[in-house]
Amino acid sequence: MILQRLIMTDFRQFEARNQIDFSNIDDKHVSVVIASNGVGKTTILTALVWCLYGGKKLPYGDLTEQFLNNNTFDNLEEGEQATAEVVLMFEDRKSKYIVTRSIVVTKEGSKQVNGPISLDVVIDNVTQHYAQEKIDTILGPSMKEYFFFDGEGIGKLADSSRPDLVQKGIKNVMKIDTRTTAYDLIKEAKKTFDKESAKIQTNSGITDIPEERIDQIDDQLVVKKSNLSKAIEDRDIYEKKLLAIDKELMQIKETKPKIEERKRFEEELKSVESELINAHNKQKDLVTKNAYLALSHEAFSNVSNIIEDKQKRGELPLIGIGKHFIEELMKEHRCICGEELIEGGSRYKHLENIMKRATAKSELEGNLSSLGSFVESHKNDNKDFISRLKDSRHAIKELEKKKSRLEQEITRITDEIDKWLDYDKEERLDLKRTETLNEKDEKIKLIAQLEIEIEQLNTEMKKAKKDLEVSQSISEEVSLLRNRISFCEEAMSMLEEKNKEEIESIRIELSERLANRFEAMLHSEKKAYLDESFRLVVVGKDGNVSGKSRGEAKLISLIFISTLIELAKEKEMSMENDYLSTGAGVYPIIVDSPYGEFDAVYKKTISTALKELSPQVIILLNQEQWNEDIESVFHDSLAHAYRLIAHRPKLNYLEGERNRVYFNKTTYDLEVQDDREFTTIEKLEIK
Amino acid sequence: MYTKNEVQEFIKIVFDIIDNNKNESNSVKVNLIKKEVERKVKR
Repeated sequence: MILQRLIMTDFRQFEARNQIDFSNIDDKHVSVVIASNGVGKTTILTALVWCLYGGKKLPYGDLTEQFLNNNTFDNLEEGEQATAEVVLMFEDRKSKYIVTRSIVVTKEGSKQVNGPISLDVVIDNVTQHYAQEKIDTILGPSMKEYFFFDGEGIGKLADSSRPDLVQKGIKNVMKIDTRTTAYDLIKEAKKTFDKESAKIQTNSGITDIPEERIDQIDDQLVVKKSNLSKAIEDRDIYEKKLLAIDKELMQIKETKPKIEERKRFEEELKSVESELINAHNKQKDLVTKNAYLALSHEAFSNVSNIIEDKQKRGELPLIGIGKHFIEELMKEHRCICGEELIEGGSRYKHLENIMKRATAKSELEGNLSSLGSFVESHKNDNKDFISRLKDSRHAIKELEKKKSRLEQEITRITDEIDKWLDYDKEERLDLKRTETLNEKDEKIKLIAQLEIEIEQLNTEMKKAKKDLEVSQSISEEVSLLRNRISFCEEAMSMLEEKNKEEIESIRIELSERLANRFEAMLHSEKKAYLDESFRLVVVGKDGNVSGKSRGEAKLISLIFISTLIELAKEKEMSMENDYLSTGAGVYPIIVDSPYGEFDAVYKKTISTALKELSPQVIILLNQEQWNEDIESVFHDSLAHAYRLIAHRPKLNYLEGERNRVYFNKTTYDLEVQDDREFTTIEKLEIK
Repeated sequence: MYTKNEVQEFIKIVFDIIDNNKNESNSVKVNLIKKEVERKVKR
């Protein structure tokens, strides 16, 4: 980048159009602008920087929001607008650039109200769309501090707390930034592949790894299904428990009517018992009243047979048999019918009567005969009695059977009642039933919940399997993109590595040259170098790092920049046949008031350093800083020299003398009397 | 995959893209670089 011309129109002190030409023809590469303080030196530095980088505020000096020339502003009507404009023409890598930056200013009372700023960049007669980007590509805003210096700024590179400025300067000037640009652009390209890859995966709806998801769902399904089986098992257990409880409760319920049933049976039993007593009584009565018939009949028959038998065998006399027989019966208390005889009973009495009548043997025989007659005459009565007795016995038997049956039934019912009729048990069962029912309901809910969850998992599983299919089909596409991403990363890594290597090699080279030049210029025992941390270091005779004076700081900064630019220029010219070489840039250096309060020797040393700084050097200084010594340093290298003339209503005399500069054996005024205040630019003749 | 030379050749092409498209925006350059990657790394 070599500056060719700066045109300022109504910009700050410069009313209407003012122009400065620069040059780097051969060894005539230095331009000087001489002016008294406050007239416009810093404005020229400001115009250059603002033209290139813009901004709502100006980068140097005072009143940084005041762009428009005061006289131009005063001529405006209220609300009227005017434009302050800076045009910079330069050449870079054989292309011609015209950069125009302007700002519209409106008059509002005494105030300048700044409007929009516009930028126009023309490269080789073609207007550019991405104007600022074009400028930044050549000389990024971060680089301006290495080429545009105000008086104090020169020394800041030597600040040991700012090695980053030095490192950044090396990267920028050595055009390692081109490699950085390549790195950034490849990184952007990689991002597009990243986005495409993400987009494919997003469009597929797959945001994770389906295989992993399938495994996870499978695991969850196993757990859920196991829980479901357990819950179903539990539910069935509760179901069975409930059935058992219900059965028990039903039995309790069914037991209650049995009390009534038992009561009926008991009443019936009572009735049967009563009937039985009556039947016995009736039978007794029947026997009592009619037993004699049977007795008589039997007795007569038996006695007759016995007597007859005895008589046949001659064992028995024919007399006294009846009495004896009756006596035997009465002694044994046995009736002839087999029934027991109770003393005093009716049968007994009847036998006693018979006995009385059988005392005599004639009477006994007679009585036996009478008995026989009697028996015969009551034969039918006896039959009737026997029949009735049979009936009675049968009835009693039936009643006893009925009684026994009823008693058994009552016993059975009582047992059942005793077994089931327990009200506490019913209460306990009711409570248990409620609890069991609740537990069963819980299980049913759990089952329903688990079934829903399993259904959801099954649905998710289906989706995961489908995703897996999709994933497998897109994996080829993604794999290709990953390869491209990987390729970009490889290239980025190579560029980064190359940068690192090159910066270190540049640092070593710079450090050597810096040391040599520092020594040659200062003729001092002190030495300077660039250390591994990119700090500009000055060491004393003893080899220890010493603090830098302001002069040393400025000098070492200038030497650093000059060696850096020298190296960049050499690199650009040689352009190694290396794929990764990017070439380096050539840049102008513009310094405003470089000398400060230094003594004459230092000024000369700094001037020498300045002259060697760059293929193009522009120095802005006041008349006090410019003298014959300085001129002698620059004379052979001077391409252009300008004076800024201050137009003022009243001249500023300096110690009784007019503001003048002695240049090339001629004295020039730096101010003229005028109605208004403004600055003009005059070219000085170089002989 | 790809060799060191292939990556170096690619970087050289990137430098050319930057150099030959000074008047274009970064997005244009990125697009050209992307196409170059696609040409280098095929299916």
